[in-house]
Amino acid sequence: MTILELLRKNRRQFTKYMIGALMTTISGLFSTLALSNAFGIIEETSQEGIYRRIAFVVFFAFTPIFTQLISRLLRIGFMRDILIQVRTLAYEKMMKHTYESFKKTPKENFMSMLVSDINLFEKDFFLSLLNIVYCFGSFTLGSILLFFISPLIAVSTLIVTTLLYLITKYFEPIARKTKKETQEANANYNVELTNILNGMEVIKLYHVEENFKRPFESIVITLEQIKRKAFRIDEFQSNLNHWIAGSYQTAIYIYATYLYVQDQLTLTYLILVFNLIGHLVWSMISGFNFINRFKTSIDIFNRITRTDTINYGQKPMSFNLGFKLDQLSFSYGDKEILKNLNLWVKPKEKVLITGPSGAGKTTLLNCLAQNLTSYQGSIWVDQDELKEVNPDSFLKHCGYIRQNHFLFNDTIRNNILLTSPYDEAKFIKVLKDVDLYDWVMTLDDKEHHLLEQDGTNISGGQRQRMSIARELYHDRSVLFVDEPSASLDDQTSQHLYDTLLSLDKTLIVVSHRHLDYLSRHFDQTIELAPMGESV
Amino acid sequence: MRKVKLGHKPWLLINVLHMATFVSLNGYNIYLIRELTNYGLEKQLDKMLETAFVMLGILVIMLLLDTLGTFLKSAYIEKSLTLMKTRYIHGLMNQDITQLQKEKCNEYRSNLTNDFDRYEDKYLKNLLNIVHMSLQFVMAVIIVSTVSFYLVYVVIGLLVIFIFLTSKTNKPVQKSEAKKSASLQKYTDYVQETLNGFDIIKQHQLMDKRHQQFVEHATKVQKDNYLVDIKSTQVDSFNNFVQTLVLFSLVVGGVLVAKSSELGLGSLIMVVSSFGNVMWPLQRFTPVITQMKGIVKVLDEFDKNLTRPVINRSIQANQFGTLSFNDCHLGYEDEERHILNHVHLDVKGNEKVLIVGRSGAGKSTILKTIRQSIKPKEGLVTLDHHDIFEIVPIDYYSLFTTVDQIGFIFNGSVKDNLTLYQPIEDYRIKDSMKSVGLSSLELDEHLRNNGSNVSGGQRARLMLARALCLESEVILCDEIFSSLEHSIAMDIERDILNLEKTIINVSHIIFKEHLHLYDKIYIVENHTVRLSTNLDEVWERMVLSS
Repeated sequence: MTILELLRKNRRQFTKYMIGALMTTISGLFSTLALSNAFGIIEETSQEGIYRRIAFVVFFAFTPIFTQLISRLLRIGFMRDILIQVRTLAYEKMMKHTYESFKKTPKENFMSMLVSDINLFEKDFFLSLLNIVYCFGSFTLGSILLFFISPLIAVSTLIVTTLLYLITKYFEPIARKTKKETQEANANYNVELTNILNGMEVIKLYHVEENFKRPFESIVITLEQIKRKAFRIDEFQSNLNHWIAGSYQTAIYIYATYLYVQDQLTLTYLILVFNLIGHLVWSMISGFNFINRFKTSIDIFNRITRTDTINYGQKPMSFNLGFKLDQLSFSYGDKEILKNLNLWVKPKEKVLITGPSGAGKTTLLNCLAQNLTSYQGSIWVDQDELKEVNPDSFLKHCGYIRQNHFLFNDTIRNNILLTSPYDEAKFIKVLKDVDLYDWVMTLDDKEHHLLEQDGTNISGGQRQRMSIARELYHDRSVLFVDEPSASLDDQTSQHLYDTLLSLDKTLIVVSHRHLDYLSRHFDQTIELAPMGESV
Repeated sequence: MRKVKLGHKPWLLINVLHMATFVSLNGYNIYLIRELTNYGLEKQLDKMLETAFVMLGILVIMLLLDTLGTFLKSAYIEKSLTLMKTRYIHGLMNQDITQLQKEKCNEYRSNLTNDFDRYEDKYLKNLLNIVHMSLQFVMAVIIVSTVSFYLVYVVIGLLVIFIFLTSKTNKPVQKSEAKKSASLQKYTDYVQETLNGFDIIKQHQLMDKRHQQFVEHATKVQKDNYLVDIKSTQVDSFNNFVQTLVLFSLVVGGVLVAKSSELGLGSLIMVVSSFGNVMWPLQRFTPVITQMKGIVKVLDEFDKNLTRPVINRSIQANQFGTLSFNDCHLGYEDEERHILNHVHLDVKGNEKVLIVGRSGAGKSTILKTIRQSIKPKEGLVTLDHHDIFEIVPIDYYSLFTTVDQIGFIFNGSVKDNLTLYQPIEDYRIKDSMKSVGLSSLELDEHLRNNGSNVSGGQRARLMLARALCLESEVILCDEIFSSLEHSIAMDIERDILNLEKTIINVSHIIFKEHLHLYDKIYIVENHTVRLSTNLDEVWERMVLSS
């Protein structure tokens, strides 16, 4: 969804927002009118006239406060609604990832998209949108007013504004370039700093601190010099703009006083012009800055919400002939993990995969479980290539017990059931199968015991058994199991294996322990060698 | 570090002087506005134009001063940060060796990056702002006093009321801010949970339920935010009201006085301009000061990190006889649980020892204990019957060289990288290189960008060659094979095992062909360590995780 579509979808709230934003445009103008009327009191001769002026002052000075209040209340509802939707869009983008594409992106990236990037968007988007409306709105209103007082001043204000705009434009690429340089310098600083900090122990050990003081300091000096350049450019631009604005304001005041001397301008208008000019020029300076910020915020929006379409397989899964691997190869970059693997897993067969670390056991399991699709060769499920099988349909048939045993911040029962309905007999059986029943019964809340997400309140073995129980409860016809006994003692492992082997399911297990016992009980044992050839 | 909290003081002084000049000129210009207005009111055109020219002249000077100011400001920031960071670095160089281990380095790094960045933004730049604001305020008072001292009291009085009223209004906002950050924290936790459980959520197709829950969390955050907005809108309006009231009472009062007395209109315009100049900045005075006070604490943190711990260890050691773990329980200081129990482990001089185990089994805990990053929770680790924590640190540390995947390679020649500028004869360096299979490199070859022009295998070999050059007794290999290609890793292992050094190799990757070359193999599993003599068992045990 683009930002425009999002605004169109929320057009009622957006209209309110824009009305609110437009209301702010009069505030600057009104304050100016209030001030000039205050000075206008001097010109009044009658008591009545003075009171009338004071009434004007009160009206013009305090109206903006109320309009701002109403404007803000009109705006924040829209901000709330939009941000909920942006958060949801970013979340949806994240959840659209497949296992494979998800693993390719560091988790910190998703985290920063859903947290800090949205905060940035929140800060920049609304602030800059409001200020653009405010600045350009009040500029237009002010210019019209000025035009009636003195066309010459109005025209010269336009010229100065254009000048300021051109300066901003001129500095834009320079500022962007130095910003990039600073970023690079910071990255370099980080790399070099990390390196030398890693070396500190060695440096100390051989008393060569003096030799390394200078290189260490030069890292800092290089960074600070580049940062200084960027700072100077920023400061220079902003100072120049301020100077032009300030000087112009002074010059116009001199000119307006001259007109006053010539009796072409009343005192009220003199003050009005003086203040109005200041107001217009300043608002234009910030207006230009806000355009850039607005653009950046749109970029952020696009980055956190724009999704790539992913084409999923469409064929429903059938599982009568089993999995057939035909010359299956897989590599991570240049590193070949699996090479020309051939295998046939028939339905209800129990298959054991073994091999040393790095031989590709989990990779093979991930290929079979549709988690990795960038393999060469083919995996056939009945007559269909695995990639063409619909993932939803696939997941209805296949369960996967992974090595990392994730638990939700929820009760034991909910962690096992997830969204499935509760079946007491089945639930108890599953708990007994994984030897968790006795432990659960000792807990105060029994199966309603609350687990923490990081699982600090249960042991590694319990976590593992919880996640096995979860898959057993869901009762899929094919079960992939990765190292089921990693953190279990021998007795529990044996019981677990007996349970798994007694299931009326297709079972594909990766394991490194109890090999003698296991290879006797499995129908097929695949031993992977480090370079990937099956032995 | 507290001593240099103001940064580079001479440059700060120069900046203050510059700002004072600038503010005075600006003040003079405002003063001239009065003159100009009064001449205008008196219809003295020539005197008015004369003043106008002076004003324009001042404007030109101000442009020059402005440009100079940019230069001075950036110089101050640069010099200050360089000064402070250099001071930090010197402190770091003087640190005791026990404080310079890899684990500690993260803290130093974040001090030298994030913390200093924050200090720059929140202290140094704010300091310049505060100085500028104060000078402007002083200038405004001076300008007003040219009109009447009585008026100075009025103006200051009004400002005090203004600051007092506006500083009181933040309380309710802070309260709802706290509520908002609580719900934001819950939201963040939920996102974290989703990220960690991504596989399970996909596998069990929990997307709809999770989506709904996510929207609930997101809505809660924005609703709380909405409440904050409402509160702060009210506060802002109040502040605005007070400000408007103060400003316009002054203006209308002033105009009425001017109308009936000798106070000229020009003076009034001048007072209003200079008063308006300081009003807004002054409102920011208190929060900026609070921010600065907060960030100065970072410096105390720096000092804490840079104090040398008092270490009284007297036993000297210059030879490596036998390192023993005697029924030790190992774990981290701040954690109650033990990672490894009843550890017995012996390494004698010139032995080749392999320590294997799955990732997470506790191999690195042993390594960290040997390197004194952590103390055993129970039991003693001894070197030739002395508790290793009784041995003079530099003596003990210099017995070991750790070779890991990162390794310290700096910009310089191969020779300097190997010798660390120590006087060592070339032939000895070449010998060292030869024995670790590095003959292909020349001594004067330049290593760039922290060694990005050497491969991972060469990097590990360079570390080994350095250990040989610098004559450490023991080489600790910390998972050096995991990012290397199979064949290269095997070659390196063969080279290591041929060295006449004590080798402790900690790895989860092993090569069946080399197992018999080790004197001892320890398996780390089930929260303990045991010696294994059966190579087949080792192989089978380790045919494990991926």
